This record gives sequence, structure tokens and C-alpha cells, in this order.
Amino acid sequence: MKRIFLLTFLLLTSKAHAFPEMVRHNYPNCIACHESPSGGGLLTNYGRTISHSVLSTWGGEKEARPFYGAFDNKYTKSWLNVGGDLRALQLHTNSKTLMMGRFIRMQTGLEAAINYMNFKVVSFFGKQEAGNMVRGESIRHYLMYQPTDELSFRIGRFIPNFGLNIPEHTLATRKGLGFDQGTERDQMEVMWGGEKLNASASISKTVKTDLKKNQEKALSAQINYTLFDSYRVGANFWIGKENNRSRQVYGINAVLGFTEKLYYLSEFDLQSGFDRKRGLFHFSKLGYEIVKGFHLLGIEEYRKSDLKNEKTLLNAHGLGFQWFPRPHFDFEAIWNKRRVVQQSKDYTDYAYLMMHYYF
Amino acid sequence: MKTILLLLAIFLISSAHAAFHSTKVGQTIFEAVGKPAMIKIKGEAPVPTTIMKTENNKVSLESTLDLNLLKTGIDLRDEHMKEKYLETGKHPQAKLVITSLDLPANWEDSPIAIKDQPFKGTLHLHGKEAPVEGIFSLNEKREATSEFKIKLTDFGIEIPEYMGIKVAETVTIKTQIQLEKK
Repeated sequence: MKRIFLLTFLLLTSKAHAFPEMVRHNYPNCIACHESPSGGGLLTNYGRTISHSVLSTWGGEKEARPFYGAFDNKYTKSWLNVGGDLRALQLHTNSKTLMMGRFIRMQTGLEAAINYMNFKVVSFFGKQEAGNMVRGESIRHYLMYQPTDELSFRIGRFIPNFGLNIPEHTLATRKGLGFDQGTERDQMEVMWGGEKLNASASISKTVKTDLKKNQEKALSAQINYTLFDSYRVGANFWIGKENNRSRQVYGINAVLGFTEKLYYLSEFDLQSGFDRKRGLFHFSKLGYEIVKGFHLLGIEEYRKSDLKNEKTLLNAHGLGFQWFPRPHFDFEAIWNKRRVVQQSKDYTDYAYLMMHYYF
Repeated sequence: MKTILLLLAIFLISSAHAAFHSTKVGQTIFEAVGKPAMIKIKGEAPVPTTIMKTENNKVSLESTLDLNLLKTGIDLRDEHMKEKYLETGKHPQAKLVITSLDLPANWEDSPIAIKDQPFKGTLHLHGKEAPVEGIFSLNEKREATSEFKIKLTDFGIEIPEYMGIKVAETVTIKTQIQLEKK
């Protein structure tokens, strides 16, 4: 049972949230609201304003500021940005063989960004470990140089910009391909964030840990194009080598903001190479904001890491909601029917409530 | 004398052309880009009050918009835009004047369609006026559209900046107007 809990913890421990569906509000690039050009993590001052004026059901401008504006300082405001995350999860699984409920602390940490001229240094400090322990360690850090409004260079340790950077990072296209929690890599990245065109390329290698001894060295590229201001389509490519084996991943994705309230995200990735297997990874999410800040969600995923082997199939579909009641608070609840053929051909009821407080 | 006056009156009546006025159908859209993230800022307002008429064989158009009706979808942004940048308290209206549109002579009586015809006009905004150039279209149903670009600095408007996002100097303005004869 401990193994199941540990595995669940590793699967669900969250990285920073990013919301590509913000394209429905005509935000084609992440850097308006996040310090990171690929989204997620520390909000910019503008992002905090948007967190109350666009995202949240209630709240005010001052409430959205770091520490509710208590430490606003005119001398540091232009160059220092400090925040952090507390995130926890209540999980329920119900199958013929297992019924469990569990509260899991997923993330505890501080994040800071220092801006100086065209340079930026960002670090997230706090590594959540099993047993609700937090280790004082920077898990994400980088130096960024932005010579123009569109162009940026980054070097450091962060999660590769590949596919859709969604908060549901355990879905097939994130976890299934190795881009979920703990996959920060040492890398160099160049990114172009234009009015229509957004492109990035990077070289990276995985970080050696106690659990992961092998290092994958990878070259990746991604290109997105925004159509009619609220529709974005993209393609991504990855080639990685790990010891004597390699893999290639080709993907396409789309974020469709039909209206400011109705949106759809989808991604398909085809992986080939590892052990000569070819696998398909897919997720899609349909959202509708019924009142400001409250979204109904439909989510489905499909993963078959070896198209010739039925036992590698995972598929799931479910419903839920995401609610941003006030600035700093974010809740997501999903109930779905999930089938992991390797474990059972039957569908399992799987539900979680994610609670996130960002400051 | 009476006869002369009568003839003059008849002549004036016959040579006067009915003006076309805007209905409530249509809208005004403005588009700007916020840097560095290339945010698309889209604003909307109701249809501008418009009169289009022929005088001395020239077709002219005058369009007036109440700037207090502009909305961008974010209340705080609207507040900043109107109070700090457009200063709608002091300058509540914008007016576009086009003195010469090149339309066929029978445009008032017969349904005509023209597409993307260039025009030159004058925009009155923020207490200043500056020439503008754009394109104008009209279809058989008397639906008129126009599109033109302005530089905010031409009208003495400070480039809007908020929380690190700076609006590009050029703003695109589009109007859609349903005209009817009055």
C-alpha cells in the first residue's frame, strides 16, 4: 500500500500551473502573466492583476498583490518579485481491488525573480518530498536574457517547453512523455514570442537523481501559430538519447478559444524509438466558464506506449470543475473513469480535489 | 417675385439629397497590441453616430463616438484607459470627418457595392485633430465598414503602460455601420 501512495504522490505532485486556454482572452504568450516565458510559476504584477480582474469570481486589485500588498515597496517593486505556492490534493480511488482516500501535500515553496535591465534570474526554492517533508533546495532556476520584446534566451534548470503546458500534468501527454513533476532539466533555450508566431528550441539533459540514474540528452523544438487572436495551433518535436537508446516524439496541439467562455485544448504526440516501440499519447479538455471564475471541465486522455501491446493502454474520461474564488486560491475537482489495462481491464473510479494557494 | 421664390424653392428641394444616418446596428472595434507579451487588446463600443450625405457632388461622412462607452472586457483596464489616457472626462467624444468619398453619382438611389476604397479624413480625439487614412466599404444593404490606424502620440495621448505591459503606439480602429435613408 505504501508503494501505491508513494507512486500516487509522485504522479500527482504538481508543478506550477499554466493556463494556455488564456488565448481565449487574446493572450498568445505566457510571459504577460508569468515570469517564465513558457508559463507556470511566479506571476508577474500584470498576471496578478489579471488573476482578480479576469480569473477570479471575487477580489480586488490590492488583494491580488503578493502578500496582499502588505510588503509593497516602491524601491523593490520594479526589480523584485516574490511569491510561492502551497498545494495539496485529496485523492480517491475506487476499484474492485482497491478503495482508498488520501490527503497529499504536493508543493510548498517560495519563488523569487530578480529583474535587471534585460536580464532575469528566477528560482523556486522548496522540494516537496514524500511524508510531507520539504527540502530546502532550488528545484527550478534559470537566467534569462531578453534583448527584444519577442526574443529570449534561458539557461538553467526548468521543465522543457514541449506541447501544452497544462496544470493537469499527470495526463498522458505530460507524465506519459516524461514532462511532469520532477522533470526539470538542465537546458538552454531560445524562444520567440511574437504576435502570431511563437517558437522555441532547446537542448537539455535530465538531472541525475537517486531514482533516475540515466540521463536523457535531448534536442527539442516547438512552434505555435495564433489564428484569429483566440485560436492557437502548434507542433512540437523531440529527439532524445539515453545511453544506447533514443526516442523521437512528434506532436501537434491546439488551443481553441471559441468564445471568452468556451474553450478546447487538445494534444496528440507520437513517440517512437525506445525499444523500437511506437506509442500514442493524447489528451483533450473542454471547458466552459459558467460564471466568472468557475469552469466546468470535461477531460479525456489516451496513452498507449506500445501500439502493438494492448497492455500498455491507459484511457480515461471524466468531468469536473475548476474554481478561482478569489486571487491566490485555485481549486480543481475531477472525477473520471480510468482504465489501466496492465492493472485491470475494468474502469476505476478516480477522483481528486486539488487545492492551491499561491501568494 | 413669388414665382421666382417658388421656382427657387422647387429647385432647392429637388437638388437636395437625403442624408443617410446610422442605425443602432453595428459596432466600433479598436485593436492594440501590448508588449512584451504581444497581448491583443480588443475594445468595443456601440455604433458611432454617423451621417453620410452628398453636397456639391462630394460624398461626406461624419461619425461621432462616445468614448465613455468603450469596453475592453477588463474593468480596471477600461478605467485606466478612460481616466488616465483618453481623459474622457475632458474629451468625451471622438469624431471622424471624411469630406470626400469617391462614390458613384447614383449611390443614394441605387444599391451599390464598393470594397476597400481608400479614404482620407480627419480624426478629432483627445482635444486634438490629425489626418487619418484608411479603407471604406459599402454594400448593397447600406452596410458600411471602415478601417484605419492611428498613432496615439499624434493626439497627445500618452502610451498606456500598466504593470510592465506597454501598448504599441499604433492602434487599429474598425467601424461597422448600418445606414438608412432619412
